[in-house]
Amino acid sequence: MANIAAKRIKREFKEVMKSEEVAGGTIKLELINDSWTELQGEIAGPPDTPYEGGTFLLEIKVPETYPFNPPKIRFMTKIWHPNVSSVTGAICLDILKDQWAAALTLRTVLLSIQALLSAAEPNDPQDAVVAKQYREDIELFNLTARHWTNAYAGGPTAIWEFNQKVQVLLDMGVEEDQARVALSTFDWELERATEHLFS
Amino acid sequence: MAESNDVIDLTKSFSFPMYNNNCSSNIIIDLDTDDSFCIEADILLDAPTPSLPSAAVAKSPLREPSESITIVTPSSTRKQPKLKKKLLNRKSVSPSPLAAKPGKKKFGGCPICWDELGKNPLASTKCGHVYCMKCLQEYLKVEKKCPTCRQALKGSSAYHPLYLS
Repeated sequence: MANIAAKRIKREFKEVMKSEEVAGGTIKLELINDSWTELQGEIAGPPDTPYEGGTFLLEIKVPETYPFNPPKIRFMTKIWHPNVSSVTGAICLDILKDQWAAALTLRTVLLSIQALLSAAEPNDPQDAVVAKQYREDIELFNLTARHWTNAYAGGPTAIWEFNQKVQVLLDMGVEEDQARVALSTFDWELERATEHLFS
Repeated sequence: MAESNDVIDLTKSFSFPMYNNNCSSNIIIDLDTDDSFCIEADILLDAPTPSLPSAAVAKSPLREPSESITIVTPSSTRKQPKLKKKLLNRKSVSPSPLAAKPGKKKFGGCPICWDELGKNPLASTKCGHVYCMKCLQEYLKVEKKCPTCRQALKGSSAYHPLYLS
């Protein structure tokens, strides 16, 4: 790894460890390997959002050319959000792409991703299906996001009706993640989701 | 003065009001306003390095034997390398050394490599953001924007060297 990248990541890592966000438990950062190229981030779902109470893991890959190019970050924890792919976890955030600046850091990027959870940008979506639901039925979106937070991120709010519907599909032999994506995509209409899965 | 072990005393010695009120010489004004005056103290302590002679030359017009240079004797400050460092850091955050009070805040690092600013040759963008010259030049090969505020940086006037002494 290029000298400047490794040196900076080491220093950033120390900075994050000393930060008040780590002390307050809102973000975390862990090393995955000794070469400082791969890290794991963790952000707490912001209060007053459907993600509240959830813990979201992020895969962070630091390119050789860091900080001249942005780190590659995706959600490892499944999340229902207009700017995150519900399938791959890819994040649509300008500072991770063309708006990256070398003065940004892992800490500021993690905080930006956390802020994205509080303020979605449905008009610049990563996941068109999620964004559509967000725009057309925000209440259903909030419930779905809360359900996903409960199912994948340890969130506190189980939504009984949704769990029941997922269970119906599980009983039909559908894989759990697939069942949840199908139901969420079809606004929790069991018939349409089933039809989609078996067509 | 040589018996003083306190670096802060040294800065106080620069703040004699007569320097401002009575001086008829531009030389003394230079001393008071030049941020590099702490660097000068540093120069007197350490063996000269390539960047130092120019600073020393800049100060050479001071001929009065009572000038501050004599105050900063190696014997009084060599014992306190840490204090010397603090002095340098403090200089960095305060616009005028005269107004300086012992401050804890550091000047900070290069936003790109995070090395202490001043450790390497510096550059300032036209938007006023400061980096190691090398770091900024490397970054501009990738992206012709300020690494902090993203202002477009194109052409020969996009950035310039910055000298602290």
